[in-house]
Amino acid sequence: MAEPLPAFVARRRPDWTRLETMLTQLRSGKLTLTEVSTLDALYRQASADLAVAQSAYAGTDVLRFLNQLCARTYAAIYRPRGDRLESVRTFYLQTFPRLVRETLQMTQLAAGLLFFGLVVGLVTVFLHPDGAVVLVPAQLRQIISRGEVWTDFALNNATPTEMAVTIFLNNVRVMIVSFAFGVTAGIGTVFVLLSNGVSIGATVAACFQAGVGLNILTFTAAHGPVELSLICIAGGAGLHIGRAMIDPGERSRGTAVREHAQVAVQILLGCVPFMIAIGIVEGFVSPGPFFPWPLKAAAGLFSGLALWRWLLTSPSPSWRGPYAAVLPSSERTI
Amino acid sequence: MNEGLQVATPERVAVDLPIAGLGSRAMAYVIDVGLLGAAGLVLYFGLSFAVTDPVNAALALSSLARTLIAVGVFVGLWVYWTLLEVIWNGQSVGKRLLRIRVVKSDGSPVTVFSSAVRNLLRVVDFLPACYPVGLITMLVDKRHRRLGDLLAGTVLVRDEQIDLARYEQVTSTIAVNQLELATSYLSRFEQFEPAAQLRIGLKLAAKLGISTAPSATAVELRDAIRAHLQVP
Repeated sequence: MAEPLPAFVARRRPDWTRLETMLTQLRSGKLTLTEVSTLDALYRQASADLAVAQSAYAGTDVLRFLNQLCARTYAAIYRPRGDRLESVRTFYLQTFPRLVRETLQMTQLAAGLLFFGLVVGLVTVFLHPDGAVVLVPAQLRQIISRGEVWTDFALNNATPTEMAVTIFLNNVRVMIVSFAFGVTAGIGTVFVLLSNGVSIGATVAACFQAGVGLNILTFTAAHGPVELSLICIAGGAGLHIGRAMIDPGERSRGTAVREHAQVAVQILLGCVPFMIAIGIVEGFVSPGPFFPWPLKAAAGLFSGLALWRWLLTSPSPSWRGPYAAVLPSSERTI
Repeated sequence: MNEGLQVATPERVAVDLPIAGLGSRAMAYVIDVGLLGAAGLVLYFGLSFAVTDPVNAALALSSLARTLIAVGVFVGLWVYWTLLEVIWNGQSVGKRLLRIRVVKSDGSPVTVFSSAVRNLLRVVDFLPACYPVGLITMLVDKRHRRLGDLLAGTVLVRDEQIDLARYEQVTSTIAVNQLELATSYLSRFEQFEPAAQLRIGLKLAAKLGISTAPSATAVELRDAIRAHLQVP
């Protein structure tokens, strides 16, 4: 028979109060090394008290109190390593490229859908120029029919910065929508990718028919490769979520979706800096004749190749993991 | 007690955290939004010293400036929640007042990344207006998580203030459940309505086997119960 509850509380309460005070001190970083080992001992005792309370004092406030105390201490003691700048570095050197490689199939599928849509759009408008009425957005159609490319037009009327913000927000919208529609088992993502491909293809074809085809090619040369890659990666992340709903493998459907969603969110957030960078290029470098087209093409080719080389090969074999500098060489991991 | 968040510790004891319900979460949200709204009002009137009619002045700005303002407001809201949750260990102002806290689903403190994700998805939960997506997800989910919590792997738990002093005067050795009931009645006595004080007191006295006069007042009942607990 367990001891009476009041006696139990009276006997153990001083230690619990001490543990609580120490937790407050720990948060403000005022504990010495000896105090930390006391904290450890107090936590183990409190855990034992919790086990006693679970069997002998179920349904009481003492149990609730101990639950909370142990949870707080557990969280303070078993805390993951500080997630500040170091983790950003690790994320880009290691995690992000790995995640992209793991979901590469889905990115390829997204690229395939976008490309298929693009071909459909091109062919449709070349065979039936009237199709442009349906497939190309109205305001672009007007500009193209006047023999301008909308980018030249936009540059005349608005500052490049404004272009960058507008285009950037548009990129973000396409990427977020194709990502978020992953929760419709990927159907929405497939639709968004296809329809974006079709409208890109149709616009390019309409430009060629209006005699400004080369302008659109030089406009997209600098940012196109990276931008399309990012859309495919984000779309691939969306499809990755959808895949878990269709084929959860050996896990329950809920668990699979949760795991895939966490990977997909990390991929999407990892893309954010590149989205900003490419928005700036698109606003300042791409429009108008300020930069000669061979330079734009070279920049586009180089940035696209560099992105994929990094995604497919990082981390390099010589990189010894995030804590290489502080660990003895025998404990280093790759 | 509802089914809480079970955390398996390396000490081989399962810690059971109480999940925060929809009511307290909504209330905390309302407080936060009220606070931000008040800050917006202050900003508006502060600006109106410098510019007459700030709303029309903002509409007259170039579309670039308006886009930047819209983006700025969105980012500002995002940073408000994320920053507070990170530095206050999972609590915003509203959550602090309602004593609820964001933790990761293994009970550990919320990280920058998971807080950023759950607050970014607040926008999706809010769609199309007034939080229907989030509310439905919270109602369906057993742990009352909204979409953002599901993707970030976080849960809201209650941070209860429990005072153990009420056990300390007790010297009698009665069964644990009776003791819990009686001490809880005594500590909350002042908060009850007079009718409830009497009604619950009578039931409790009967349960504890205390003989009372039928005309006993609430205070007499309380004293009788208190005396019963202190019998050695």
